[in-house]
Amino acid sequence: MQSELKAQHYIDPAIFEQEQRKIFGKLWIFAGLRTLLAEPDTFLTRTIAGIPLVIQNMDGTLKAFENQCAHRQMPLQLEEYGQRRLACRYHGWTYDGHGNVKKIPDEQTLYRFTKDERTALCLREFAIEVIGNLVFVNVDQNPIPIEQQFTEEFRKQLVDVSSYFSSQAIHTRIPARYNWKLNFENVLDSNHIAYVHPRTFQPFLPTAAGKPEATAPDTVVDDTPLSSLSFATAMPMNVRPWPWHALVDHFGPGDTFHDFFIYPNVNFITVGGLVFLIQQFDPIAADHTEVRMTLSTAREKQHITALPAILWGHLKGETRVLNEDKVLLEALQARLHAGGQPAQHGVYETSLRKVANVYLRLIGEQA
Amino acid sequence: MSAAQYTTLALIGCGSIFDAASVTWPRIGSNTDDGGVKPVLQLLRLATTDNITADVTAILAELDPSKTRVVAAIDFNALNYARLDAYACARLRGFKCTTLIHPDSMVESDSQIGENCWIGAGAIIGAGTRIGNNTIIGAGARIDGGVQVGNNVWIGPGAALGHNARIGTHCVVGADVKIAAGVVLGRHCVIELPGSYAESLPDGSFIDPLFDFPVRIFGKAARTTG
Repeated sequence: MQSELKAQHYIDPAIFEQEQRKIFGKLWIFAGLRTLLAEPDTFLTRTIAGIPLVIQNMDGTLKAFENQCAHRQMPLQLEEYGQRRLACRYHGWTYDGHGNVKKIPDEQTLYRFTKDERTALCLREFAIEVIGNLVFVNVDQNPIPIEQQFTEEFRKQLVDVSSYFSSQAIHTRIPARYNWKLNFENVLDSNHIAYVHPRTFQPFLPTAAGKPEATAPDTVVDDTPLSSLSFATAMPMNVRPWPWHALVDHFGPGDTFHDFFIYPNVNFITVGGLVFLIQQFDPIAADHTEVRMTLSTAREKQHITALPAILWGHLKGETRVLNEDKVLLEALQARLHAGGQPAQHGVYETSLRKVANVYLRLIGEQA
Repeated sequence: MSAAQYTTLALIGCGSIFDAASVTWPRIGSNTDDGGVKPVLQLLRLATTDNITADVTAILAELDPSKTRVVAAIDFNALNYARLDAYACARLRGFKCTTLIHPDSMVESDSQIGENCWIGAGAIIGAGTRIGNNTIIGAGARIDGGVQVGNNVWIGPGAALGHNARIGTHCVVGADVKIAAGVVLGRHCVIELPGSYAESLPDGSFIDPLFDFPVRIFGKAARTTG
């Protein structure tokens, strides 16, 4: 069955701009881990739909503001994660928990704002939703209700699984020369595992695991609900035992690979409920994605001195798996052209057709 | 234990340092504190470090702590925790651990080097340096004066640490990595990409050829009651 998505949807800068406004500017987008924002003044910075954001713990409440000082638009926070009060490095302006300017050094002598000008000095604030230990942001001024994007059942699943996160995580960004949709489609397609990851991933799966189920050829995907694109799956996995496994509270039954798909651009997996990896396919340009990898272990029952080594070792392993996908997806992207043929989906790829259906509706190409 | 009772040096481990130490042993003489009688080298090669504590415990059960000194010689597996596990096993069971210094290295007399260390061929250890326990200085590495290297560190072959640099515990400074004078690496930092580095790194920072951007560990260690 021919895909409804054409090559242009992966290569056209104009369509990319539409996505930025109509998908990333409208939906709830994963921003980061609450476990890393637990202390006062801890923060993370992101850019979503072209808007630079700072998400900061303000006296115990997480707030999302535009990361630009009201004075001269200098970023208030520079690092990806950190702990520092919300203040501008440029001229020392500070902000309160509502985004209002709290203090301006030498205000009376150097600025002399009118009362109305002074009142208007505040940061743009954006909606924030915390689901368990996962922080989502919506940069639309009238955000859709979160239940429109994620079902109650799915949100409960996210709350449950993320409650097992450790308080530390290892994080990086990996640049990739392909469209973000290719990576989301790739993680939905478990049929590729045996071909692309024969030595890194496939050996941990029992023979039958990983093979997708076929649906009826006439399965209708029209009017697919947005909320149906975010869901969880699980399959058996041979998890190699390590001594540290006894030192953590693991999620769910062991020897299971849990896979959470969070539309539009997150794949969140757990290996045996012991290691949690969030991969976010952050759109940078039509042909450029940054894969944000954030990995933590299950929460410790006792202090694990070697935790940094465990995090580092697992991140390297997961990155090698990603790189096996990346080399192929980059080759695919490099050869896409406006006159090319669309993909042909088999009966096991219904989830890709559903994603395409919702995507085209969101960007306004289908009613 | 008197020096005269120390008759065996047990070299336990695997990897490049194990191989280098075993090959060099015939040329290592006077730094073993043996009262003039060179101990016999017992090579105890591990197949893997996956079950390091159990494997080393089993090996040590066959040895006499009153007559044996130990060198735990393992590369930087798991940010040097594998070597630490072996070293800690030996110390907990009453063994003393020895530092081995290659005869072709150059070590200033006022430098301080901890136990269970290896100083490789051609390494230069400058004046006033302090090197912690269980740390490896690879062949041809240059450690300038005033440098402080913590416990459980790996300094790779040909690496250079500039004057007064400080390297935190469990760091890995890879081969041919040059650290500028005064730079501070926090705990659990890895630089595996050859090159020159003039900026300090906070705890849990990783620079590795596998990654285009630096990798960081964020968050605070859990407060547990266990």
